[in-house]
Amino acid sequence: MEILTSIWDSILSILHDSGLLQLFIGDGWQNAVMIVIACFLLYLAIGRQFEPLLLLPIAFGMLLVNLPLSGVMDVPTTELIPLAKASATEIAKYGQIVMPDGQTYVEVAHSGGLLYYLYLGVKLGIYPPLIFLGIGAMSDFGPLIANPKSFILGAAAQIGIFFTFCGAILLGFDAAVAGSIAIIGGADGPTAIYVTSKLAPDYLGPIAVAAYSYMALVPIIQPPIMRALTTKKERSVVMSQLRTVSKTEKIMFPIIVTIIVALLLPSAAPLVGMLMLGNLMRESGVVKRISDAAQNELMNIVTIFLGVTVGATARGSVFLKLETLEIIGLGLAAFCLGTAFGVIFGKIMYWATGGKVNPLIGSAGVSAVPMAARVSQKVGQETNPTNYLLMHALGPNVAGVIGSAVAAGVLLAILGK
Amino acid sequence: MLTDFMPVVGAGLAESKGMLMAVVTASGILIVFLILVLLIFIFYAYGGIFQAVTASGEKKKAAKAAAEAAKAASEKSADAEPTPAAEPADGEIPGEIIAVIAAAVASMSDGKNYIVKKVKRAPVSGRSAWAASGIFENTRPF
Repeated sequence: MEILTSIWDSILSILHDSGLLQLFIGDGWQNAVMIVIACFLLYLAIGRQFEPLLLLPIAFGMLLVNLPLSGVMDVPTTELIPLAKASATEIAKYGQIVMPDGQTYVEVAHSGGLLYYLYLGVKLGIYPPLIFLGIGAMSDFGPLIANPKSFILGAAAQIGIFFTFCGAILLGFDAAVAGSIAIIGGADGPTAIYVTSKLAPDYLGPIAVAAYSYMALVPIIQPPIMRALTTKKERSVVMSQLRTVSKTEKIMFPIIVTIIVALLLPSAAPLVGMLMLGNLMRESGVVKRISDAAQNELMNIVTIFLGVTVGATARGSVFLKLETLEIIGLGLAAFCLGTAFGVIFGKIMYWATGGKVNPLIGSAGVSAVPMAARVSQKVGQETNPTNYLLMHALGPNVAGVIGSAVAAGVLLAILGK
Repeated sequence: MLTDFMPVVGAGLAESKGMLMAVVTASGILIVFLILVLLIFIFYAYGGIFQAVTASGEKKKAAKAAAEAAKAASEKSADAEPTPAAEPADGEIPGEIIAVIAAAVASMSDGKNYIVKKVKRAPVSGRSAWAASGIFENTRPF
């Protein structure tokens, strides 16, 4: 009988210490809800293939952090244990300290969770510029150099950011948080993380998840707006072929853009500088090995770290708040406004050029490279199957990356003071 | 730096939401447009200079090639003059194209013998099938 009682006690003890019980105690239900959301996002990533490269690590990070007692995001701590209660190993490892009260203690250090340390790359603003380095190394700025007018579409698509800022202020967010929410409209995950880590680090979880979710949903969100704002005639415009851009022009482009943007707006220098460094490595042709590394190994490694750690910021207690819903709503508004302003400026260019510009390329100004350009191509082909807008849309698309980095610099310069 | 000319938002302006929104929105849009419009002008000028340099280089090359060709032609004897290739009449399909079409039909015929009796040019709207296929090949990675 005694044996049975002991076995029962040990089972109860294991259950008591398990994460399963924690799900039913206090705010544990929030973790349970987040686990369900994480599994749904995993389904979207694997089953529906919505931006799986981003969504899969984000969803898994979310899952890990919401498993009670997993400790993956635990902050490193120290604990003062009275000398009498400390073990010989602890005394040998950490040494003794005498406190002002005359008592001797052992200061035992508890290391943080794995994702806490990886998260430092987000918190210190290291990963986003590294991602920009990879994007630069993968981007061809040729279409933008061949058609510099595209810059205007990259600027127009950022207008949504500033209108959303007003919406966030009206909903009661303070200026720094409002700026971080508004930057979601740039449809650029690394930029949103960079700005938020500087202006409102406490809001990093919901903002990053919203930014990446909207990037994944570009093919669903943008087309209805594009169709609503354009006529069939405008959508069917076949644009003339772009001129050939020489290698020298492509090499000088990143150098000139870096000098101009960093001189005018130094706060945009980390993002724009790394974007252009990546592009210079690609176009110069003399550092093929490191250009390949930036495009592949570095980009993939940083994407894993960024995705998992951003997902791991979405704890149930932080995420399941009315504020989060407001952030998600405002982010969607910012994104839709950005798309709409891009298309509207595309229409203005259509009129100004006597029908030579297809307004659909304007929506690609929201960055999200190359997804937004692909959407322009797809919507254009619905009207005219022989129309290839992809190369024309890549101009505003890469201009959008520069534009969102500039908008981020503006927000940091104004609100970061 | 551009933003140094703007008022410090964190200080006095935070008191008034309306003022804050107006300053951030107006200055934000203005600066983003200003910088990107500046880049438009710079890269138009930049593209113009490069195109002019390239065009003058090509012009020189063409002039040199023409001079060399004229020199070579004057050295050749009149009886060695080549017979010009027969140009197809306007609207007529060149023989090479008909050969390519016949070869394509033969490759798809599964051993049966087909004879191409008539080749008619189909009306093309937008890009030709060849151009569309070329673009498709180049843009497929995206």
